[in-house]
Amino acid sequence: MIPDKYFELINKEIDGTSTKAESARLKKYLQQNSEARQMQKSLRSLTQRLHQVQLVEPPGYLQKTIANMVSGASSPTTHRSFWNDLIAQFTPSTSTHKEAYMEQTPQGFFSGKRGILVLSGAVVAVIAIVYLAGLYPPASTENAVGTIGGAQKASKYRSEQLSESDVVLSPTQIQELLQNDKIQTLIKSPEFKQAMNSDAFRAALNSDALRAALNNEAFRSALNSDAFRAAMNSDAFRSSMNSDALRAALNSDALRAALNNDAFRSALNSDALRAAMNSDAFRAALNSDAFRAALNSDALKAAMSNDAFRSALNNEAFRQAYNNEAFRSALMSDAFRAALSSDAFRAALNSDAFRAAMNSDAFRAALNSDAFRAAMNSDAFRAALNSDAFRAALNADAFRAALNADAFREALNADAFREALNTEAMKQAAKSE
Amino acid sequence: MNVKADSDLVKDCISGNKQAFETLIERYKKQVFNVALRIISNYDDAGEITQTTFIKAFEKLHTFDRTRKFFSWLYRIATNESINYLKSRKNIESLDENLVSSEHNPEQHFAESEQDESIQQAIMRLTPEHRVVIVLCHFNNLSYKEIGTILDLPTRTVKSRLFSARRNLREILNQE
Repeated sequence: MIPDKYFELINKEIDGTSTKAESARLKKYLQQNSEARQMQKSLRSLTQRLHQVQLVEPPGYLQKTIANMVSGASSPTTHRSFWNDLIAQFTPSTSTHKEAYMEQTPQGFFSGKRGILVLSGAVVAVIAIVYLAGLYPPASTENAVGTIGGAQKASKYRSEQLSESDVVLSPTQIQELLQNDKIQTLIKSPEFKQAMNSDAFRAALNSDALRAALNNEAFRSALNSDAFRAAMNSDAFRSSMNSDALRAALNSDALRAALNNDAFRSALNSDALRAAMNSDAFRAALNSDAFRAALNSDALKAAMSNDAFRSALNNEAFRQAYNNEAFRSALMSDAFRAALSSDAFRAALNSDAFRAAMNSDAFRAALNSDAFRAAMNSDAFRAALNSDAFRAALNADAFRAALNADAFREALNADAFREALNTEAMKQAAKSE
Repeated sequence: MNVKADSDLVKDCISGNKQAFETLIERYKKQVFNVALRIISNYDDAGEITQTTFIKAFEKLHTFDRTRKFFSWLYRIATNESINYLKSRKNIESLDENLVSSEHNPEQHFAESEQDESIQQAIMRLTPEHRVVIVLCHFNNLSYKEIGTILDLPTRTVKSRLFSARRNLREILNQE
């Protein structure tokens, strides 16, 4: 039996990572121990064999497939319609046909057994989207391919939670369904193709939370909005769909209601909000009732329409802030929300000094006080926020410490004090702590 | 010819140059594919995992810390995807000949030589943890430290795991 320490030395020697002293110690040990010599010889032979193993060439289509998925553009020489690809999944084929198909269509998730499984789930979800969003079937064609979930479909899908087992279609039924003009229009749209090329989106389609969300009128209405569809086309949005937190959030009434609001949908189209949705902090915030409720407030929705606010959402300090309970709690207060409605406050959100201040415990604690919130709602305070000197002051420890004092907050609530805050002398004084 | 560093390509890609990402695919597709292939021993699915790895890397590129090595990050995604694949197939506890036998016919892909084939079959009899360190060390020529970064393990643990893996692999091959 070779002691562990010498077994380690043998391995290190083989890997060329031993020190001179270790090599000398091993050499001495090997001279005295034939078993260790045999082990070294054997392991050296093994590692040589391993290093001689050739790397296997990946499939020829791989580079192009991945590049296409990344760029969202399909190769002109290998183009097949999305419709044909979908049909091909459910068309019985010989192995020769499949091989030829795979050679001609290096389309990533359309090839390979694993891909088919993923697509099957995605197709079910797509059909559910189309069906539940009211795109299909037309009211007058009740008997035409109205086979989703069998005879109960009309009442079931509009009143109960959707589950995968509810949507059971035969290959023939799927083909018939896919021949519907509206479905073809949807699945042939560049936005949809792009979305389906994203792992995150496909994973999202397969999530119970999204399926449950599909059963919600507000969410379906959102699906029908141009802004939401455009959002589906963004990498950040699709990626964010892959987060459990966001999926869970989709199940909250507050977020769904927010999705039904034009301002919020429009905000979904902004890079800043999408990027924010991609941040862990935002997703974590989405999991808090306070934040969701805030999303549903008119003030926050209106704020979402504002570039400065969107930009702030994407700022690390702001993200840290909305991950903070005091900040979320502040979002619940009418005064804070009203403050969000003011241009001065939003502009302040866009300043580094203010964001940094939001990241301080003292400022967050202040946010939790009614007096401070009330102060934020005053024109004088907002005007003060518009001044660099005042923002810089917010960033000073002494000023933040003052914010933490009840007396100071009370003072902030007095018109005279606010007016004073707005004077140059006071701003400069605050800046100098 | 001027070869751009990975970090520059990542930067270009984040700036919107998708061609830069294609260069990264070209540079690492073979290695990533082989990481997956050697861990799961299924040619088609290794291709799928390679695709997923690059797509995930692309989607999360903005979160990548450019002070670190891109390939380490990429291999980390590939390794995780491969392990998840094994878990999803419920083979993590008892990988046996089933995985390297009839269904996927690995011979056609591994049999550059009979020796390569026997090595792969032996590797598949290791635990996934041991298999991963063997693959990263011997097929991707990574250092203990780089493997530690990829697997989020201390170097000491990597060494211990690698040396044990070699011992087990040696025993498996000796039994044949």
